[in-house]
Amino acid sequence: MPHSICMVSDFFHPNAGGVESHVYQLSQCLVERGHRVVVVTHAYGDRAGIRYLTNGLRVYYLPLRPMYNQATAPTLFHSLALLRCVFIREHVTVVHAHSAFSSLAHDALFHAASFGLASIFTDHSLFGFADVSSVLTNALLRASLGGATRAICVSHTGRENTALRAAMPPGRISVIPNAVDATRFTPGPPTGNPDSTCHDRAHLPRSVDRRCAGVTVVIISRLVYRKGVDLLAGVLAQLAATRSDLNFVIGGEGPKRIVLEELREQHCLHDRVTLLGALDHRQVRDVLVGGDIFLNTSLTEAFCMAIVEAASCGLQVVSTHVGGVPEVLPPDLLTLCKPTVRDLCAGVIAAADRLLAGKAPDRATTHARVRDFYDWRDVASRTEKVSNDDSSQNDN
Amino acid sequence: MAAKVYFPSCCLPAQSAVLLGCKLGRRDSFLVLATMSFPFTPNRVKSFLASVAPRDTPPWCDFRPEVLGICNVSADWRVLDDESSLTAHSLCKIFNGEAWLEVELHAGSTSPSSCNIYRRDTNGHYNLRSPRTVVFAHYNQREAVTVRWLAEDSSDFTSMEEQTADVTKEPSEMALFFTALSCNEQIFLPPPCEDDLEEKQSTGSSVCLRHWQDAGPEGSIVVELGKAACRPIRRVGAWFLALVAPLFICRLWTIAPLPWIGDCLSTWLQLHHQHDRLRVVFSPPVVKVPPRLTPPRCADMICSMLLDSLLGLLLISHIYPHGHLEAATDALPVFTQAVAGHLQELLQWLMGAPAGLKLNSTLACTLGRFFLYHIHLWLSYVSMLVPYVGPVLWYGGLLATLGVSLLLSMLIDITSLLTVHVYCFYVYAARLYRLQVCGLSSLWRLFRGKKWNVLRHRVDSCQYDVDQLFLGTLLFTILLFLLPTTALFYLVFTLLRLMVIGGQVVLSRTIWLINGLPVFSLVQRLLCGYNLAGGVEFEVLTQTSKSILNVSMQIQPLSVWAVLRRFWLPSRVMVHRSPNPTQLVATILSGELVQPWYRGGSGWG
Amino acid sequence: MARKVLYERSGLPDNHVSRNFLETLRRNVRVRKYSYWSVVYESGVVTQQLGSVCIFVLCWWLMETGTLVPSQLFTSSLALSFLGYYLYDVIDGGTGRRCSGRTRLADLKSVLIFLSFTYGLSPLLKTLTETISTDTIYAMTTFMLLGHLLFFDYGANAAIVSSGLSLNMALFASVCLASRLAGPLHTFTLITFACELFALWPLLQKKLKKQSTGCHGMLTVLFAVVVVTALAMVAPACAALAIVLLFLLSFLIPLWLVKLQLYKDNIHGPWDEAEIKDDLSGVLH
Repeated sequence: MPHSICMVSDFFHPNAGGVESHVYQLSQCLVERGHRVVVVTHAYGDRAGIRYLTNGLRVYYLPLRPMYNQATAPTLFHSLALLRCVFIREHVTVVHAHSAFSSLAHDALFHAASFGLASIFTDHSLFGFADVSSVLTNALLRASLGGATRAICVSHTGRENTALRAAMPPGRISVIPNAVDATRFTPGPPTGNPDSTCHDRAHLPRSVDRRCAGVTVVIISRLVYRKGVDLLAGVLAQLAATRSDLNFVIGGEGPKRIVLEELREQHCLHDRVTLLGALDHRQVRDVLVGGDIFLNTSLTEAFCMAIVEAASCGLQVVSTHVGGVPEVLPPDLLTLCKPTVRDLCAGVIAAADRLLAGKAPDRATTHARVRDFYDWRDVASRTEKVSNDDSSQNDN
Repeated sequence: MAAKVYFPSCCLPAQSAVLLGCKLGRRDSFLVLATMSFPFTPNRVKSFLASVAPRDTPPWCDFRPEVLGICNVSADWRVLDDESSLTAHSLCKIFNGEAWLEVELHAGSTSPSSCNIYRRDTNGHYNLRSPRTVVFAHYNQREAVTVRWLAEDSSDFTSMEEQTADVTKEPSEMALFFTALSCNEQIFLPPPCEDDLEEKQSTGSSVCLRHWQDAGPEGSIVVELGKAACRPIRRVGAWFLALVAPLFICRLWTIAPLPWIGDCLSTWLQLHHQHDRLRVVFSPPVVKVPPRLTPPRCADMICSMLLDSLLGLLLISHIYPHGHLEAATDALPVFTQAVAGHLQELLQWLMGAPAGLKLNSTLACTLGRFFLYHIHLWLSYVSMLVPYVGPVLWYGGLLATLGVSLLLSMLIDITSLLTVHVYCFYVYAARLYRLQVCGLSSLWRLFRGKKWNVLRHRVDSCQYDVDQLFLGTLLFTILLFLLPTTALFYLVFTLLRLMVIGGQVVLSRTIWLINGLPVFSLVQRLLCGYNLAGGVEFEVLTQTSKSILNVSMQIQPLSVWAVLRRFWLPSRVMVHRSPNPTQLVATILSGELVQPWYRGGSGWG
Repeated sequence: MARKVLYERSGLPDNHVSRNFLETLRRNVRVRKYSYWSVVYESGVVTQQLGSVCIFVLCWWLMETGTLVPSQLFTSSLALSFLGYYLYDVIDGGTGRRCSGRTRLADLKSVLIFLSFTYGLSPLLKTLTETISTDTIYAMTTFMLLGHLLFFDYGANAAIVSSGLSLNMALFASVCLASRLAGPLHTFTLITFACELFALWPLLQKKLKKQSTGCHGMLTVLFAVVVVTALAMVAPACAALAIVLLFLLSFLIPLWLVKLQLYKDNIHGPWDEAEIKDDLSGVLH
């Protein structure tokens, strides 16, 4: 039975990120399955009004001003008139809100409850319980999810976290992971400039079946405290001192970039550490295939799409053992370490040695496995099942 | 699409006549320039048309006059002499145009009853291809020929050429209409015809046309005299310019501080501007001085300069005989003393507890005394200059003959010279304030363990020694406590400086107004508005039949505001850049010097 | 019981709640069992700092009333500083000096620079607050000293700690008070004393605490006694207030802390943000 689904989130195209691509991919797959999908988000600069994306996906850019961190003001009623207009106009039956950081999503859940529409909330992040911001956000979440009929979390850890925070019975929360577009993240030579991310070390003769001598470690993340940039700095300092065959490529931008720049200058690592700055989503794949190991030093992570994208490109993954990361990939594809400098260094060194000894898993096989693990169409069908359960319960 | 025929309302024939005119562009539009009555010799007509063809027609459009068709006045259909065996249908074959019009008109009526358009096909036959409606527009030929079409941004050939070179952007039909009329001036020149048929036949030579200059070529004596006088006046002007030019293009002015001084003096800039104007006006016509100079623009420039000089002479005649100049000379020292006195009072007030604010008395006293000493110096400098003021003013005032704008710019310069002390105080206070603000921000960074990296233009972390931290704290405390005092002095002097700049801005705007006002065009618009066409208005007259729509075309004058905007005389020297208010406030708060924004060029330090 | 992995489909519905749901939940992992007397012992740090502040204000008051002459204060504080300097080196047998690599000469240079600058700037410092009313000065000083106590580094690893800021606030307060005194010499003396008390003394204090526990306890008691006696000589009411405050700080508040531990209810699990336990100061400045 086709639904008319309204995806609501503050984070959507033209912003690039995990939540944004999740909403987009899920919407496209649901449209493929025959449902009517519209996306509601706030205006980005001049981009206000209604736009159309592929397959006629209609996006409403509501004229609301973002206040802090790309989210609109959490006043609850300033978006009521516009949301009501959209719901009525599109004959919406299911309201699907994304991301606890998005106040528009909370508004939509609240209003959907008062309109009697079925509502689903997808939580993409983990929260603590101890500090002031977490306490306030959890209270807000309890209020919003009081009206939501179902929730979706992207990992089992996420479900436990949401169940505790929102005081929601776990039977109403489904675990549906994110997925990755395996056709875009394929191993192989980079489609762009072939020499752009490769470090040629002619003076270090190594086995000839690799593109470049030395082992390249790739890190792609936002450079903020939450992503463990401090840990990364410590790891870089130690690894650069102990192993001379490791090179590092770091992509992403953020307020902690200065830490890495100062580290580079202090230890004279200009030729071994490359800072690429903000990467366009299209460039991510080229940067990934230019490396051998992907390092993730996040301090907390619900799902971590970056790991899956890296594995899809055939890289070995080394990550901190936090949040939902252990659930994402099997142990032979993912090396887990404690969030300490020593452990992470040991993990990276082990992966590098495996690679140099030729015992690293084959890239194409890894890609095929990841492709089987995660697929957006599968996510869409599972989400559809949640909507069906939801609306049947609503009817009852 | 409807076909359009533009018919001059003065040429409605009483008898059947042939229509002469041209086709407008690629459209289905015909412009009738004149009507030619029977009888005539086709060869004579062809040679006449060839002789009046426009010489400088643009290559992209053909405005050559041709025989467009025939106007039959019914109940008066004249079959021509059997001897000449000319029939209406064979006429089109003789003249062999692309299209042939046949207009039917009832005798005594002003609107035609039918209009058929025949098109020539590849075989040479004329087939009837009338569109569903024909719009018959009656226009006033006298007005249309004498008017200047100004609806688009520019009406000279060069830009229209660019426009039609781009095939997607054709010039508008009205632009083509007026261009065609102005191209075909020649057709209106030959003498009018005799009504007597026999006399004509006996002479057997002339073609008998009917158009707006039927009664003979019209013109105004003044305009003709003006045109005749143009050449000698131009020669005289060019000779005078050649005398004066070396003064302005001398190499001496490029030596180091002189360009800077020149930029600062408004008088010099205004003289330069006037010299530029004269050069533009009196330069020989072959020199292409951009923008392309059309006679009305030239007239604007001359009129504005004349008005300027006139106002200046009026002012001189008012000031000099009545002894105002002596009064001004006497008043000047008194005025400067008064200003100095006010400044001293202000400083004494600041040195106390101004507005109840708690200032650091030692610093306030020091600064106050410093500035008071400067005022004392300045007063002595002024008292030295007093004897020279009279002659300078007298001779300077004579410059007003060159224009009141020059007088105003001299006034700006005199104000600048008289307020040198305010400027100096402002600069001292600004520098001191800026030093303090920079020091405070740098020490604040020190407390957080950061430092400004000059090489990378970013803030870096830095390890400081213990003694550096101690000294930093001490200096920070001192600077913080002294900031209100410095800030107050700075604020007061900034306000004074802004007041002076404000006054100079007012004067500068007046000069800009005098320099730029297009007097001639404005007067032309106000007195005979129809000469400047801003648009056309079509009024429906009658619809005699389903196929013909009769409209009357009225030319609308350009609005006064559009005239001003269009004809405003540009000036390269006095550039007005209004400051962004937020930026101005930010500049003041950070202690940077405020540049006087009415000046073009490099401005003053 | 299904494994908690996302890459394998277990065949169960997505919202199936297995028995190992929330099995990694831990409660009150970091709750520490406090022993009352150790808390009392540790609270001595706060007492000592409070004592320093009181001593400073007392010295100022005595100089203001003329009881204390600048030269007396200057010589005594200088003597105590030398003693402290000597103790600092002797206590750990010279290892600290070797580690930091600072020579005696560098220390002497710092001292000379500081003394000369303060002496040179003291007339200016004196006039800084002339036009500001006394009440404002007192209010500002109180505020600054409270801030100093708030941001002081008592040895706890909390976000609010900022030793630089607390030192600055203390020096700011000392400049405010010093500028109220009779002459530039008084200003110079008081500021020097404030520097020694708030910048140099905590360094020695930390070292003493690390070296021997008995020393710390003795110091706390010493501070308390000195403060109370001095206040008693100047203003008995203040002394009484000081006694009450010290009792509160040392005995009642630790008791309250121990009692409150019963109400703690923290939830821990894999969703918590990982804490970085490494010392990254070498890398991160």
